[in-house]
Amino acid sequence: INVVQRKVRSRDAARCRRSQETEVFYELAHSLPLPRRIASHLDKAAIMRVTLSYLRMNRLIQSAGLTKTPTEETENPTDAFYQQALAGFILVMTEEGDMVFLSESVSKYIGITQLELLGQNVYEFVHPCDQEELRDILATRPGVSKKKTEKSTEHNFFLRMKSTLTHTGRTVNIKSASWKVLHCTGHMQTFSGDSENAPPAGSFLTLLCEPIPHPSSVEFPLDSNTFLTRHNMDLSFTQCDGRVTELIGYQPDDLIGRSAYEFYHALDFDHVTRSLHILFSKGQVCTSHYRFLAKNGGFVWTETQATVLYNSRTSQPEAVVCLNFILSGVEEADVVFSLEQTCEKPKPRAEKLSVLNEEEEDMEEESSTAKLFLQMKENPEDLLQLAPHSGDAVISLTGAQNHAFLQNLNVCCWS
Amino acid sequence: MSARNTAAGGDDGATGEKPGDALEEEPQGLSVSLSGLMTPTSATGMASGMELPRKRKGSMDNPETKSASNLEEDMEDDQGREPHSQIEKRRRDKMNNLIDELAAMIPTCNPMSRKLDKLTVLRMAVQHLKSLKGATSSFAEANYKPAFLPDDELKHLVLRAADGFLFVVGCDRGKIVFVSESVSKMLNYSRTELIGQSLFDYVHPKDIGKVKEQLSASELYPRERLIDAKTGLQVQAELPVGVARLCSGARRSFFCRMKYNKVTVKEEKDFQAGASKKKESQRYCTVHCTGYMRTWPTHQLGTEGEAETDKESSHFSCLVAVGRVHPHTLPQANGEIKVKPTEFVTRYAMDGKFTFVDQRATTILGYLPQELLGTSCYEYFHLDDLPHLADRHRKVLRSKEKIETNCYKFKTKYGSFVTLQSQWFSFINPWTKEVEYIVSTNTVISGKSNPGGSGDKSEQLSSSKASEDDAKKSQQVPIITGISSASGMIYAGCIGTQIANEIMDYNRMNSSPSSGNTSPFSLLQDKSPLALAQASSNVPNGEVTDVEMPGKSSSEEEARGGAFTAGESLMEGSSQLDLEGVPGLGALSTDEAAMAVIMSLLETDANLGEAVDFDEMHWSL
Repeated sequence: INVVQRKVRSRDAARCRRSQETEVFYELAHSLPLPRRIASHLDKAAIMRVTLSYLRMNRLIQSAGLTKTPTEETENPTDAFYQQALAGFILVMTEEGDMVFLSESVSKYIGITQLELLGQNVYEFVHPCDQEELRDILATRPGVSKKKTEKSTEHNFFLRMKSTLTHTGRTVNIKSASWKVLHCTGHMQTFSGDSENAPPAGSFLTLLCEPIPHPSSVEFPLDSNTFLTRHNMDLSFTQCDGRVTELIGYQPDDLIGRSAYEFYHALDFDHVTRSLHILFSKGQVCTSHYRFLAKNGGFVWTETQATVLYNSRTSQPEAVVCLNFILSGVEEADVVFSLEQTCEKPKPRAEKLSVLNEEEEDMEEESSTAKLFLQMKENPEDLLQLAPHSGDAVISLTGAQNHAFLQNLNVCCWS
Repeated sequence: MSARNTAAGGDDGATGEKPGDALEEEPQGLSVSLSGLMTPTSATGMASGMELPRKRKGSMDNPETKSASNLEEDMEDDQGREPHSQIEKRRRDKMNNLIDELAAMIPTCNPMSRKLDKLTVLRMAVQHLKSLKGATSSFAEANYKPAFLPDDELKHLVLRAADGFLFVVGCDRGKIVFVSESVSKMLNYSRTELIGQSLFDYVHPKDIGKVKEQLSASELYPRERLIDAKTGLQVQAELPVGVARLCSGARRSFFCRMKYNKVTVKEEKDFQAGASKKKESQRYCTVHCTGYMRTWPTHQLGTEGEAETDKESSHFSCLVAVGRVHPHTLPQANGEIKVKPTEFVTRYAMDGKFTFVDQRATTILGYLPQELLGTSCYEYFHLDDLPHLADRHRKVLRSKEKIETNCYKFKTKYGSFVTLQSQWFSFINPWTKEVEYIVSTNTVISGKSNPGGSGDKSEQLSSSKASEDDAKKSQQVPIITGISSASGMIYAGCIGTQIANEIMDYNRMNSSPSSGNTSPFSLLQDKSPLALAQASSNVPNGEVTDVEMPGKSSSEEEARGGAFTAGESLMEGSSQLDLEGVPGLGALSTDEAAMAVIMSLLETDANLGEAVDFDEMHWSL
């Protein structure tokens, strides 16, 4: 009887304690700046994560906020637009990789919600092969000084992060997540807190993370200064959008079979090859500006978003599709840089693989982009696959989406 | 349902442990902490795994939660105890760590030296959060939907991550309805200067069409997008339906050149020189704009939207975008990034033929790029330097390192020599592992038409060169007995070809041999009989395939073309080189011997595979 009584008493005491605790937890949840219905659905661990992130973020803002000027008040109504106007999300993390802030839009890009990520360690979501790179970045401290100064260093890198978004816009379980390449740009900052009370707030990396659009699902319309090319893995051209003629002067035939490496200005060589290295190791990249040598002389400034396509059966990389944004007209058109630009043109070194627009040169060029994709569609396995890394999870697109994609592209070109 | 079970299970742990566990929570938490530390990743992984499904449920606004999980909690007892208690221990451990962290973040907890219990910390955290909320004005009351971070703070983060400015432009006329303060940092215009102006006035004339495309597409495009959304392609779920109907939300991403106002500081100074000022202010920088289309009912236009003229339509559609300037693009306008004028970059094919020439070469060498392109660099090297450069050439083709040459003399268009030093490296196609080309960064060492070889570092090593004062004098090459001056010029092109072939043979030997077809050498052999002997003796099959690899076939093309250009340059070379007493074609036969010496040396090296030692001994430069 005694044993039973004690058991009952202790159980009651424990219950009482737990319920008290739970109550405080939910009180805590509701003091977070979250919509009530969301706050009440957080579990305890999540409450702790989010609370900690909130407090850290608050401290970060306070130590940085001294520079804020009152005039900015006037911009208030439009401040809300930033998040949506950006083609990516904001991520703030500590030196340890704890994610103290993510903008709400994160779920739009990688499917995982803000609350799921807040307070978690970023390494749990980063591709194993990219973790060391990230560690190095987070380790570079911009020199801590005694004074309360804010130093920042710029960073620009590519990370593969887990994404639960499929191309149908559905989200899958985190366990079957795939990798998404994110272009991260931002600054590392070190804050030394107030000398007396607060401990140093430490270093924070503030990043804008932008996914690189996969050529099968470009969300935005492509304007007339953009053309698509397709390459073998050695970067020789295999297909080229006819629009290139008006932009750089080449007929698609001129390029097909040639190595894209021949068309880069030597002064941009370093950063272009660095970008391409990232492309081959991570699956996607966007270059910074480089000079693409134009036909018969001169060059155009170009920025390229490149994506590796994988074979659906073997998961082996098969081709590279580039979305080339031409940023300028032909500059220094009277200067010849390369052998290709001289009259005696070396012949393409590989046999021609396919030529678009051979007899339809006069057709409106709008259709050429779509045709390029139509061609891709005919070899459906090319586009069916987008696993940025071999051995990673694979997302397949269905035929219906391909079709929709074509429609979409048609529309893009039309407009 | 299984997901829900685990979720509930995980949560149960949090909401209420089984009595036994609960009682001994504190001591266990301590004793387990070691093992918990040993496997932190698994613990955190577990935690996240448990939370994720749970949260999704939460965000979908299901009314069911606590009661259900409380029910299930009692059923837990039946399930496997061992793994569960392990999980529990780890969870508690993690929770305790989190509590400690939390305590460290709360000012009121800090001064207290003794460890506070969980409940106290949590209560203090609540107080602290409430005080913060009060300080930074209320999210909850003012905003209908409180955000984790107020918008203005988010804006600061955006600006910190990426230099950019927000702008809103009307679709119909391109009027700038709004632009953020940060534009002054990017484009050096104040926002008041820009608001109300037409965006097109600030866009490069050639980009206006492009920007118009982007603005005008709002009509057609979003309607189609809805269809796309139906097929499930687009990720449109985030958009409220009402907004979507107004054709809003369509994404935009484009680049355009925008005017960069460079003169605000110098304005007074440059007043008199109006022309130059204008030229200065017409600089452009490339802006990457990302954003979306948005439609407002006109009456809602705020104070900043003083777009009176736009009020005729009931809806005002515009582009809301963030423009970002990549810092390195600012000097884009002049095209020339800061590079020393004493430097130029060239690319060679494997065989040393120019495939790319930086225009700075013209000021240094006198040649137009098109004069150099397609010819072999060996045609311009001074004879003295040939062995050294050939050695480096061979080295660079086999190495992934950057190879520095010694100082060497390069013949300018005017017949004089300029002393250069180059850094060579072979660019290897990352995919095929084939040499794509050689990139050479050439630095002028002692200005144009260097009369003496004094600047030549290599000379301190070379006893033969020490005696030379003049580039012209170097016609006599003491070290290669029997070689006569002009032959180098004539056959120079072959050296490169020879080296390229060596390397390809070398590579082929190391990889699988491939069946070849006709040898490009047959062409060469006609031109240079001396190469014939070498080629046939040392190149076992004499075939270099066109088929094998794109990289190879291209250089073959060049090699074949090279045979021609060599021949041509021989002609023009003979006339051009007359001043140096170059013998004509008739001298060919006598030069054969000399070239054979060079070639055999090159060949021997190649076959030895240990080019370095052999070379250094004989040609010590």
